[in-house]
Amino acid sequence: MKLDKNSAQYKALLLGTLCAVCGLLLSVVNTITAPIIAENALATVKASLEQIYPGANFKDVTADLISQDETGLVDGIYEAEGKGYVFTLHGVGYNSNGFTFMVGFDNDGKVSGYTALEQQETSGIGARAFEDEYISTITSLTSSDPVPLLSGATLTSTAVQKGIDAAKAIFNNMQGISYDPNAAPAAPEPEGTLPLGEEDFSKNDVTIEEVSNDGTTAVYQCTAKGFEGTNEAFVTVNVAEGKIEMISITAFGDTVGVGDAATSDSALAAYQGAGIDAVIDATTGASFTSRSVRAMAAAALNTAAGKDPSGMNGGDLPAEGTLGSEDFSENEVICRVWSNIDSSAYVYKCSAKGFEGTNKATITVNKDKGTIVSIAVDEFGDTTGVGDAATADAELAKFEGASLDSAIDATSGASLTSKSLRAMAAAALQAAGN
Amino acid sequence: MSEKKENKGGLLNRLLIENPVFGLYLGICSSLAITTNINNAIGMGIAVTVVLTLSNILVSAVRNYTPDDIHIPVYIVIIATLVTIVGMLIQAYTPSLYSALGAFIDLIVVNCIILGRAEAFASMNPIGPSVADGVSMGISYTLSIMAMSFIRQILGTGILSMSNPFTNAEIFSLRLIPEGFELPFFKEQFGAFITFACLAAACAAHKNHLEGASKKKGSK
Repeated sequence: MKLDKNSAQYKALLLGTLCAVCGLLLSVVNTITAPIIAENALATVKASLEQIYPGANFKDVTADLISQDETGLVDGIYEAEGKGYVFTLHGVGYNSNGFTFMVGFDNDGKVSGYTALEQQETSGIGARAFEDEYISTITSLTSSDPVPLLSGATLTSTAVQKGIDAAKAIFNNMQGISYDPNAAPAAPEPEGTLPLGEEDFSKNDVTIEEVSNDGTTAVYQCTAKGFEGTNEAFVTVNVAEGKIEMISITAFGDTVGVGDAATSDSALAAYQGAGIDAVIDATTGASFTSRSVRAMAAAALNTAAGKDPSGMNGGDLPAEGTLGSEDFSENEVICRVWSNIDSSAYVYKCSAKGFEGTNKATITVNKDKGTIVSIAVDEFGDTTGVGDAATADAELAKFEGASLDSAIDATSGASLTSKSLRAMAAAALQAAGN
Repeated sequence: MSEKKENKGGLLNRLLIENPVFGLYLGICSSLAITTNINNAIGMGIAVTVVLTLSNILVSAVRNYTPDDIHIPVYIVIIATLVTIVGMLIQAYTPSLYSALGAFIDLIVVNCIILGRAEAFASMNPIGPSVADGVSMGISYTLSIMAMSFIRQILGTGILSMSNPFTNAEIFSLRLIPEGFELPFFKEQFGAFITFACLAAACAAHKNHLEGASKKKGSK
């Protein structure tokens, strides 16, 4: 049969043959390359999958199951033949670039592994959601358990929780495991469940200054380290009752939109009427900032009670013994003889470091009796309004007649200035040779 | 499209004047999109050269059996099949190149160079010259996009680097512009247009210069 090159039959036959040949060729090449392509796709995740099921035979089942994911958090689903399933997931915690991680379930429903694939969460905070402690928390669960959050890494662990919940939904559906998807997770590890006075705020580097103290109400200006910056607040304390009347934040150094949950009016209202024994819960999602506020509250309460701001010494600071036995080495006292004519009134000019500056005083000593006659402050280098409580006439009067064997109480709220005065008194007494 | 058969001026001039990208403005789409680094350019260049040469061979082989009114569907089926095969091979054996080139591999189908050469050359010439045409056009396409990606990679990232597309191992990496002084602008599309415009202008200037010289020679 000879066809005319321009006839319709010829054209149809030509195109048909061409398409058949091309189709055959494509299917041959596809047969050769398809398994290699599938293996390549798996190779990129296989190293990670092997962390959960070493040596298992993996099969990418993402395409079959991904339609069941309602959250959009599931990136991939891999079956480890005969062992279980691994889900690769993503989420966004603190770092807006997000992170990827994977979680594996054994066929019987036990969590077989949980590990980060890529994450740049803050080291020591959000990144803790991918460290041993939280990993062991997660791997102790089953696919029907709710996922607990990690305190202090709430943002990151919430994103992890959501991802694992999405994986659980698919896995449980697939395995026919019934569970309560809305079960409340176990409470996060306790934070802020200790009374203010017992919590350890040593990492907050609290500073405190007394702004005013009329004996019934004291106002302190405090600073404390939060998450990434320092927060400052005015804390008003009812001195008599030892309770906080009000906290107002004057400077916020933490993350806006995150930490400020702990400085909201309602969060601060929790401090009203709180004493040193009060338990104030951490603000979820803002635990670092919340801790800094608690630290300032505790420091103010301690200071108002005449204790060291840290409260760690637990009691009245000061007079750690007699003038002769106290350690004044930090005060770097210098005492010079001003007049030593009258042995009943040797005069010394002394200087000693106080809180932030140097205080100078003229001290008159009765050499015969080995006691202090009088002490007069010449120069005051400490904080006016705070340290000067120790240089009030009544406080200075405590030194009159004191010897090296006397114990002189520190002035509460001005302990360092008061210590500098005792240092000078002690030095003058020693110089007088008694 | 008329074929100039000027053999004077040497290979370089032929590459510049008959350059499909800067001389004929064919295949610009892919050359703008994928020229962010040399690796992509070489990969794309090789893929295009292979497809172009094979399509030229096949088109030339069937030219006498193809009625005029269905020649476009025939060529398109041939080209699409070749591109799909090359795409599958790239995806299977050089996955990193595949992910870098992405959709542009499939878009080789509509790369004007390939259909253009099938129409303008292979459908009218025997297999031998068609192969030569495919190879030379492919090479000059490759060189063009290499030139563009050379400029864009250095200016955009400050680093000239190449890696083995099969193993992803780095072959060499040179920092030519100190960190902080690179112009990320050139990694973007507008950087591609500017690079393209400058190179095309240089080619056109060279072409004008050559034509001026030959006119002078002719008038003497």
